[in-house]
Amino acid sequence: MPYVVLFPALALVLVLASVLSPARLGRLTGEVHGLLPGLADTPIPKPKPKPTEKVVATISLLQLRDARYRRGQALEDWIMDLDGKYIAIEGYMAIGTLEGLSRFEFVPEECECGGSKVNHFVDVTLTEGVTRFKPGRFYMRGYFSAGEVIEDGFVTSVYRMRSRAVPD
Amino acid sequence: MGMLPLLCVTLLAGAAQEPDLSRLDVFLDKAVHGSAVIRPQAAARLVPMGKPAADRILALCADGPPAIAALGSELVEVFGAFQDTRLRELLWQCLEDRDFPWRPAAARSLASNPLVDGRETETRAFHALLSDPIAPVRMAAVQAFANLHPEPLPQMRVELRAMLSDPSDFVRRAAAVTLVNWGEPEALLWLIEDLRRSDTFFERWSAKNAAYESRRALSKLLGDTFGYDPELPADAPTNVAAVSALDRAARARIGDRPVPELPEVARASGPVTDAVLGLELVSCRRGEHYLCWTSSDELLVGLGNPARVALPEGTTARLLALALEEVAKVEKPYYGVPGCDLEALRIADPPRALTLVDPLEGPGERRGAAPRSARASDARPHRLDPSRARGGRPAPRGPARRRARDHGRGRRPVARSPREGPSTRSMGRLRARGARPGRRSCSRRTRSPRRLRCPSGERRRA
Repeated sequence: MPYVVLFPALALVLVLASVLSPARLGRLTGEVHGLLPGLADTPIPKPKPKPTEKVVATISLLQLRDARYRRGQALEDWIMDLDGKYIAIEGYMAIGTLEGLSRFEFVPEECECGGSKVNHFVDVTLTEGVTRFKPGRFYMRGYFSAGEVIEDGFVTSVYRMRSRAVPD
Repeated sequence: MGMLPLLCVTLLAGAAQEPDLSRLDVFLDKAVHGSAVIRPQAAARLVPMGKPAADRILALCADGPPAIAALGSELVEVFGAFQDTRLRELLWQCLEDRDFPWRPAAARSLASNPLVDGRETETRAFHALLSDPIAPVRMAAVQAFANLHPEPLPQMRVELRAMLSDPSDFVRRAAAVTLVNWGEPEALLWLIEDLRRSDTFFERWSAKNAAYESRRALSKLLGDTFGYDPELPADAPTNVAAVSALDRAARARIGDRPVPELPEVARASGPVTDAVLGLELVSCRRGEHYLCWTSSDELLVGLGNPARVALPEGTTARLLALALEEVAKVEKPYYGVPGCDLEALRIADPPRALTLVDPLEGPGERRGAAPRSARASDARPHRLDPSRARGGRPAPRGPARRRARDHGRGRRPVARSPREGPSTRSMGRLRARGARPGRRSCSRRTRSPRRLRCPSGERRRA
């Protein structure tokens, strides 16, 4: 007996919901779309396309290393022009990078021994992947940002990049 | 009464200039245990603190070079800036120890802060370093000559001219810049020649690096580089035009002075197109050696314009087969422990990135010479096997602990990798979070704590 009441009530709720928020219901009932009255013409919102990640510039880390840098002073214009852009940078993963981390230093030479200058590397943050062994030179693609980051009075980075993962 | 405000201002100004010693311990800790990027900054902040900071450092160095090595290269690099004779004495002591891992840092520290009062003594000491096996040490010696003697003696000129034939382009460049500053503009031609280079050692940017360095030097010496771009090939029209303009400017400055002929080693050369197999041996204690075997059975020794040695027919093929066989045997990619002695095996076709950084247990304990000792394979994700990496010994909790342990056993210091990053404590935290030691390898101008047994031998045989 309760089912006699419950089923019509559920149907009523669905119809009301479709009237009040057809788009939402359309998403929920994607497979049966068109079967319910009033939903036939309801457009299904498409998933938002990801922003096109088109590389706007390709540079080598040697260029960044060669650029003038003095603490507290403005960086060169060509570097600031790249700020916020999706770019590709060629370099090496720094020695001593641990596996399984979401950050690493991207350096211009296989070993930057003794050259730990703050403007000689790009601080890469991986948004999806983690670090793994990656010998040799390769390109990192991602959103570049430039400018000093100061923590506890020390400059911890000048160049940064947000990237999805270390390329295969 | 009128003097009171003046007195107050003077006292306040004096107080403002007085370094804040309360942070001495903080900076000292960060200079030794901070991340790779913070260590040099923290070390530099100790210098204005003067004698109190120097005294603290000296107390930490009481046990001699092993204790100094444990402080790291960044702190060693600022010893000279204190202008404290006791610290300088320590630096010279470290330089005499061929197994001290931070000899380049010690040499740079002394060279960039020359003791003008003891000019003669220091000149003699630096003179001995001109023939050091490590290029960065030789380069520092050249720079020390420049800093100590704005007006050189004739014999010094002769010695620095000889450095223009050094196998390392870094040393040649330092000598050229010094000679130009000493009034010998013909040395500019050495710098300009670097801009004509297009050589590579497998994927290493040897020519491009040299071009960047020389362009920077020429920019200071001539005031213009006429649009030379190291990112473009040396034969790009704009670069050809720029090099011609630089050459004209240099020759105008040379005037009627005799123009020397560039030695073979300094002449520009192109890329090696028939490279098959390469071996890179880089050590901060034994120097850098680059060997390349070609399909025409030649052994090339060095970077830039390498020396060529003809080999019996089939030598390269036999070596390649041996190298491939050894690499194929590797069960688990293995890259050694953090440090700075690198042995990299490079195979051109199919391109195979190396890599072996073998832990160097000591001259008599090494597990054979490369490539037989290769523990590397292709570029594949890997997991370092800590027990294997450390020769089966219990895994240390951090690099500082490892250094301390090795020193305690009277062994060579296995020093912290210059880019090891996190401090001992951070490493512990990272491991607790499941992070694993990953990439290990090294080097460029070479700073290295572990011993390579074979480089010099290889070179002699070559």
